[in-house]
Amino acid sequence: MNLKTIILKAVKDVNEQLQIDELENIHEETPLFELLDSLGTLDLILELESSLEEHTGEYIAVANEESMDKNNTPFKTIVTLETYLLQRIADESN
Amino acid sequence: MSQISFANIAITAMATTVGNNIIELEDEKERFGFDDDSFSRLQRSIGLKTRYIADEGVCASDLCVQSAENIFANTEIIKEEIEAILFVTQSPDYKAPSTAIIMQDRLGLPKSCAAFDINLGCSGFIYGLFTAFSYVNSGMKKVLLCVGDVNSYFSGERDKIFTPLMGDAGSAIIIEKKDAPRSFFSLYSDGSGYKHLIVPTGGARTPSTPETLIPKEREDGGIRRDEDLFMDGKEVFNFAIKTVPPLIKEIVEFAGKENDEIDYFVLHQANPYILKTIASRLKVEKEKVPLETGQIYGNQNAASIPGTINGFLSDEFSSKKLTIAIAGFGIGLSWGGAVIQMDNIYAPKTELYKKEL
Repeated sequence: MNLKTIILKAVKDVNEQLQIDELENIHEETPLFELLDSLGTLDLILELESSLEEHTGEYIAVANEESMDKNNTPFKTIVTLETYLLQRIADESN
Repeated sequence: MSQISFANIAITAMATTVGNNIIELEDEKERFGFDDDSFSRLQRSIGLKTRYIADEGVCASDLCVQSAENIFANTEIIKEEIEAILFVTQSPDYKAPSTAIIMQDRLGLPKSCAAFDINLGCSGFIYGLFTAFSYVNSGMKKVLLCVGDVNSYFSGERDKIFTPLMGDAGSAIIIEKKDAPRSFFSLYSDGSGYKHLIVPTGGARTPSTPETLIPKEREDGGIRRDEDLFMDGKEVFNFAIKTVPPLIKEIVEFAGKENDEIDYFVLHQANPYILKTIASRLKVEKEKVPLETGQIYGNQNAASIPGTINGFLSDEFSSKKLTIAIAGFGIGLSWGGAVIQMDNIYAPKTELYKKEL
């Protein structure tokens, strides 16, 4: 499983409905959280949970108490999100 | 607030009335300007299906009066025994006087009855319940707590961000002296977050002007007046996920219980994902955390906890002794939780508002 591929596909799927230009050509430092509204972020969380379950066979709750905190959100960029999800997967497998 | 507990006080009856218009979200696509994609996105993320809305001109007090009359008509509780009526609402009949005082007269409660309103939203059931328990603890025999809102009072007619989530409901609850296990409460507030859920104008700080009554398209895509409620969805989500799990943990511990001794965790029905996430963080079985109320009835504000009990758990609460943890969280910001036991209470199924009353 390539986590970055999963994240990029999830963002692409969510953006099919949102059609935000900056997310069309997303790169590692695209300000993901700034571009998504609360429903968009929730949509991305649901998409990621569903993809991760498909790949790991386990439900992994993606939201945490900082998901929508503008200063500390792991959804700031693809890089921060990947780091966060790696940690969540590790936490779940321990 | 320090944690407070009460002995020998209990809820003995609870009834809920909802708006009599059942609106399918599908039928509101055009009103809110949803295209097929954004509509399916909303359904997926929030799970909305229907909401129950009152006719224009019907007030939250009308829904609560029907709920209260339901209790008086079907139990042995008599009006003369009520020593206080409290009404938790953000949609009063008038700016003044307190709607509870008008309800005292409408319901035929004695003039010796204390009556006042409490201005709170989604945390309001817990705050109202705490106040009612305190009054009974001070010596009153029976208190009638009413909680409810008619959301058209403060939600923009075409605000696609907020209005599709909302439903109209009014509940009535009787709290009285009775042999009962101890009940446990904990209340919190954090005014630094007041701007995250706010009706910005119409109060003394920023009075109404002709300009504040004009609906305008906002940055978040919603169309609303300055006199309608604004919600910062990200901040509110964050607040709920951050505060509610520790609140439940704290109140269950304070009650000296383990999670598996709690029959239901009845939480304010904000949205199903928030509730699922809270359940997951608390590591409790999802069957113990009802989450359908918002999807079927809409967000009922202060009435959403009784609305869940009457709407989905009526048979259970009418026939069993149940220990429940409850939590409300929202505007203020404010939040609170309680662990209480309910023993075969009068808890009829939610009723539609009957116009003739």
